[in-house]
Amino acid sequence: MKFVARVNPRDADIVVLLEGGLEHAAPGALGQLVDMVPGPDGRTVIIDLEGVARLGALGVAMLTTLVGGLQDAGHEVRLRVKSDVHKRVIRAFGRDVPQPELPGPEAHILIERLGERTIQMHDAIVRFVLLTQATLASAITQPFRLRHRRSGLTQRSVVAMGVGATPLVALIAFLIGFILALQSGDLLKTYGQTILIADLVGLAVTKEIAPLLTAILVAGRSGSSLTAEIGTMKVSEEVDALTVMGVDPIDYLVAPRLRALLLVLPMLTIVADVVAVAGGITVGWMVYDIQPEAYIEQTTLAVELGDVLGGLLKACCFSIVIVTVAAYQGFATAGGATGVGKHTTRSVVQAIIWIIIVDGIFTALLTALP
Amino acid sequence: MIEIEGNIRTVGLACGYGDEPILSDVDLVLPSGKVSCILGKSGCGKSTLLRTLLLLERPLAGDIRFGDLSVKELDADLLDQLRRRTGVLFQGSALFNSMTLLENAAFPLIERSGLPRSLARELALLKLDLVGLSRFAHFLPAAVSGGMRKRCGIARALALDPPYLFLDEPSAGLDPFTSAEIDGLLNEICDALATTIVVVTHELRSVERIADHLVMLADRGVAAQGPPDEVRGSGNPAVSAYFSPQRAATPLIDPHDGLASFLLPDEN
Repeated sequence: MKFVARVNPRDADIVVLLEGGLEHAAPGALGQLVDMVPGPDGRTVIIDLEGVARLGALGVAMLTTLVGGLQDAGHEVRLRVKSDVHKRVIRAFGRDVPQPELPGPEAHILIERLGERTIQMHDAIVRFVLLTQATLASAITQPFRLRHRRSGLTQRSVVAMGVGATPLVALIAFLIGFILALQSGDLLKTYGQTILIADLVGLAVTKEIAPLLTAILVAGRSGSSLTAEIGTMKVSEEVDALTVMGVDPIDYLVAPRLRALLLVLPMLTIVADVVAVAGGITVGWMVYDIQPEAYIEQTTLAVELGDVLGGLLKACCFSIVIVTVAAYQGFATAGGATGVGKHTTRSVVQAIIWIIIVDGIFTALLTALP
Repeated sequence: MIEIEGNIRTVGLACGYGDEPILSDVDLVLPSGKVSCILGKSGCGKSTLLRTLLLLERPLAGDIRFGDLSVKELDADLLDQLRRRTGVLFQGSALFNSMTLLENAAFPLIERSGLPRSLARELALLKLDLVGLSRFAHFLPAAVSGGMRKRCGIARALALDPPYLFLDEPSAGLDPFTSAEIDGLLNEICDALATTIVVVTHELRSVERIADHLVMLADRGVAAQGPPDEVRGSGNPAVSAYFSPQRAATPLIDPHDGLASFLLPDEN
């Protein structure tokens, strides 16, 4: 449909006859139309809408612009509307819509914002500490409270978090062992000490890499899923439903996960230890002609039980970090699907950061010990 | 031992989020064994009031009393007892999505009553039958309609035969038949079990069917409360506006000659 405007300048009134679809007017057409109208010479400009087929909100807006333009040019303007439909449309959309009040400028004073942030951070820390405390207490005391036997969820979580993650952890651990051996072998070869690959891989993996890597993988895999689950439940009022039924959400949702992960993460770490050493053996055997028996013997000489146990202790701490960070972000979720996505991302990022911080503290403590 | 039953009263209650109260000086009496409806325009604080009555939000000021129990003297144990005596239907039903309708309805029984699982499930099936859902007991919430989820939510809220039942918009988004069914059900529950029912709603037809007591919220507080006829006849402008709303029309076009003076944003 086209838009046509006819201006008849010779009559007693200037009649602007609009035809077709007003919303189809080309950009700038209205300005040209205003220029086409002669005067102002005291005559009234009548805009006749009889030929306009449809008049929607957009059409009314165009009309408003046209009338405004003519009035600015000094004309007196009237509308001629016969169709009842048009009248209704104009009545509906031609109103003076109150402008929403914009929020005033925020306080830009640096100190004020710093203070606000500090208070927010303080609140967040307090909430996190309380959550961690409640989670630990619940996870430990739950099995002794007969009324709350929730072994089902713990078992399911063990399967989902542990069995499900095993292939991934094994694959990554094997590759890391493989790469470590290749990199260190290159250097050790120049000293004719390729057998020390076993020491290096064994120690690095059991003390540091296996717990850290497994924890990061599990944070990405199970931590994110826990946050998304709790977050979705929060958004759909299911967490509130638990609360009003007198079922503690931490008790019901978080504690079983923590117990499961306290069991699973050390086990996955052991898997990672073994498989990474296997990666080292593969490189030693294929590239540096070290017999697997010799490699294993060298590993057992280099790695002590304490190194492995230290790594497992780390894994236990990491599982607390993963579950509490994921639960904190889950319970903090608000604002629908976007909120769930945002907090899931935060959960993984923060869990990884805290895992590395805790690892740093741990390593520093263990190294300082005699 | 404090008896947790009887009227729900609020005294000088202020509720909201953060420091800014959405409602203040709320003095309510929600009579025991009757259906009370809380009415008001969107955003007037109905849901906030409900969340405060459910103790999901901390009152900013004032007191709530369930019978002789004041929430100011609540300790963990009393709170637990109060929770056990309260059933809630949330606006979006808030069923647990990983559980079947039966498991949902049995959840409070299994968690709170200490009954053996099989008995809990049988009781839950009775409640599902009451809301007409026994045929769908093994469906997941995602597989049934919104109205059925609402009814299952009611079955779950009724699981422990609570003396207090709170419902947030039970008939919102439902067809007139289902909505009338739910209303009939609420009347039945109220009569048969002498349950104190508090309903937040928009639906005037539903209000006419169920309400024994009306609370009208407007302008950050209670505009009127009492028996429905009394409230409707109170002449309070907020009440009349709510019960017979009229849209103001802007006279723009002269009905005689069809000529209109156009209202421009800067003219007013």
